[in-house]
Amino acid sequence: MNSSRPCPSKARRGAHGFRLLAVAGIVWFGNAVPAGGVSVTRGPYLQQGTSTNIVVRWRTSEAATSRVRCGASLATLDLVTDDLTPKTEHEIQVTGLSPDTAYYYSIGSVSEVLAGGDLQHRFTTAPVPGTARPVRVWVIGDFGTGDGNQLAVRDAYASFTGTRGTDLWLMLGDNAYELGSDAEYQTAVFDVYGDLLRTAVAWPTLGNHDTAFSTAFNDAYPYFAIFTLPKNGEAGGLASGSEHYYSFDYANVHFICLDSMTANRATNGAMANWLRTDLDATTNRWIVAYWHHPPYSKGSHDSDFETELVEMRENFLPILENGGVDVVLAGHSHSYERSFLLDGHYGTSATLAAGMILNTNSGREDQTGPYLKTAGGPVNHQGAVYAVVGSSGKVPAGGALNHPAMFVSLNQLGSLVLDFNTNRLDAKFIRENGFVHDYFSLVKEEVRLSDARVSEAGAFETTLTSVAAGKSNVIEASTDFSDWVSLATNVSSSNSFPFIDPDAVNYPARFYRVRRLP
Amino acid sequence: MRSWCISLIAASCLFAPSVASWAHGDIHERIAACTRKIQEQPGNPGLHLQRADLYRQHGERDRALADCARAEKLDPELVAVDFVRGQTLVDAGELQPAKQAFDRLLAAQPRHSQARIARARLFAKLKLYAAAEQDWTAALAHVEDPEPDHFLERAQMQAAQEKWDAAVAGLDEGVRKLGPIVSLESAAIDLELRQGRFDSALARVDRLAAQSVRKESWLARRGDVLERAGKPEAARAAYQSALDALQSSPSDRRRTKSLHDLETGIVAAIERLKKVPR
Repeated sequence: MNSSRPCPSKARRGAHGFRLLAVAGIVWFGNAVPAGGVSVTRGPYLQQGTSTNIVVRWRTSEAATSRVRCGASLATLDLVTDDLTPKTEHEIQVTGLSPDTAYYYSIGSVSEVLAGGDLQHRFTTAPVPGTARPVRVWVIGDFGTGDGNQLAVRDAYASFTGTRGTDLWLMLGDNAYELGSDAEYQTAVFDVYGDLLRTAVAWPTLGNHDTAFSTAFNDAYPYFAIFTLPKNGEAGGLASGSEHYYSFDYANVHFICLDSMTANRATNGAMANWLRTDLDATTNRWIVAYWHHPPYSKGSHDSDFETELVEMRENFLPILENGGVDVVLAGHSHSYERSFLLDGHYGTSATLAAGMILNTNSGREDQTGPYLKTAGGPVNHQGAVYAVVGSSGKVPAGGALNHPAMFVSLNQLGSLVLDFNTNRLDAKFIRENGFVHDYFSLVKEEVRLSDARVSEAGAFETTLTSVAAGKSNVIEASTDFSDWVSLATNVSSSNSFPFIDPDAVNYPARFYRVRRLP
Repeated sequence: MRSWCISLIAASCLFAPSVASWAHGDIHERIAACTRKIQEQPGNPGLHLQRADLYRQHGERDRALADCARAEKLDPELVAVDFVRGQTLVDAGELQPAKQAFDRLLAAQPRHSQARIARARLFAKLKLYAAAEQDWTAALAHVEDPEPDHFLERAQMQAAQEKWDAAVAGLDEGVRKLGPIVSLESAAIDLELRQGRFDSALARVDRLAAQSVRKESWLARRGDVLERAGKPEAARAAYQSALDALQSSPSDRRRTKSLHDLETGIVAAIERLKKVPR
């Protein structure tokens, strides 16, 4: 049994985000605190989950001691963590857990169980960082309306995922309209997502409505009292020293959360300096970055003109692409917009050049094939997919929806599901009616054209290497990156396939690519 | 009337965008909504102040200042008006009038940390680094949850005055409060090197290395510090350790541009140091 181990970061804060001044005046009541009449008014909800720890939080109607009981089965909730200081905002860090293991839990005071100890109160710890195993991520943005639209998006996802469950979820900001107050969080987050909050860890970012539109860089917003975020690298990323921006690892995915609302967005600011080092430090295969203001959007907000959007694009995308980011997620525009595989586009929409779109296709396995990147860990400038997911509650409206970087732009309610599986990411935009309106895949595999040369006769010669056995690949050529012609198709029985294009002599310049056939 | 004014004013006081925001879309709706409320409650100074800040965010200086004036007229004791007024004038590039607004506010509320920070940044724009430093220090004394940037910005003001020791001490204050985070320690390393305090710089590098799973970039930084300290043998050993660490990690874990640049830099340093007589 663990002794008293309250989570230190938030216990000192009041219910409404303002710190209590009279902490020193708390009297030690221990077990003498009367628990009768105490009820849970918020939660429980899970925070800062790692492969060995998790933070369990809840709110009670009256001050009481805190106890979390955990166990691998309902019959053995014998891992007990207590905080004997009476309080209404309870925050317990449970330590000593096993990686990738299902646990059941209950919450309460030292004298009574207030909730849990049943099938509905459970979680699975994160795998050891770096482990390749299937990971499901639910992504929602601009959802905090508390209305039927938000519920429809939630329910559509619940139907979609069924018994598969959710490993973690990302909140892209504007989590509670209109001003991000504690009461609005209750209505738009805790009353809506109670089931998911107690079984999967939510990782939020700060939107403009979460700060009541303030850009003051401080922790006075209710958001910071509600969430427990890893400012000290507690979940695998590098310590940022701020809950405004942080990173964490889950399996073989490195997640980076930035603050586009209040933090310094300069390239020499603390957030940018931390980001560069954090990217260098990661050992994971996948990198997902997210914040509120989209670098590319022509929805209800325009990334060509609005300051936060422009600065995040100009100042942070180069850092992220240097670090090999794979997916960038944002909200703010109340739309769903999803890009091609992009690289190096840091200007306004009018400056998008053909060479910045590394793959002009859909990224859909059953159409033109997935977007391909080199196998293994992050590789710089191999392209990333940018998605605006800002319609998970707010009614989509406005905007020309014509950003040229986008493969698809929709004014539709919905949420995004990311399924990572070793070297593959499959993403689906789930509408509020359950319809999968967009999907794409990113696959990291070693398909490479090597030893390229031009023979004396002018023929282009190369070798297609590391081709997965049994897979069909087509080599295509183009003179303008737009029209591609098929030159050869190969079903590899080995990992090497020589290729010669004798017609190359007839073109001043010819570009080649390999496309995996479904 | 005073109590409901105060809550609105408190909300308004949070508004402090650092740059003019072209937030088309919902800012228009918010201005319209605030205008409707003003029509219902024309005597509410807090609403005028709220709209002033919205106009400011939208880059409408004159309307923002007009609403500030109305709010002030409705409640002459409403000192928070000067915060929005000051921000509006800063955004408009009118720094001296902005300073006067912040001066008035801080004379009335010396512990208003957001106003302190705003005036510190204003002083920085005016190249009045000592005054900026003073405001940063005063603000940091009252900010409940300081952020890394607060300490960095103060250190920049101190460095601009060549107050190197104070700058390092200020960053260390941040490290004590926030932990040995890279954004503060890296800045401190630069300052230590500038002062020739190589041992202190090495200690900081080692602290950062200890908290990082991947050591190569910190080992390379160690080599850099030792090279600057005139210790080529030790520097070469550190660079070699960095290279070994880099090359021992799987090849598919070192293909980002920054790691490629790091490897290139390490190899160049080793070659450079080979030419230094032992």
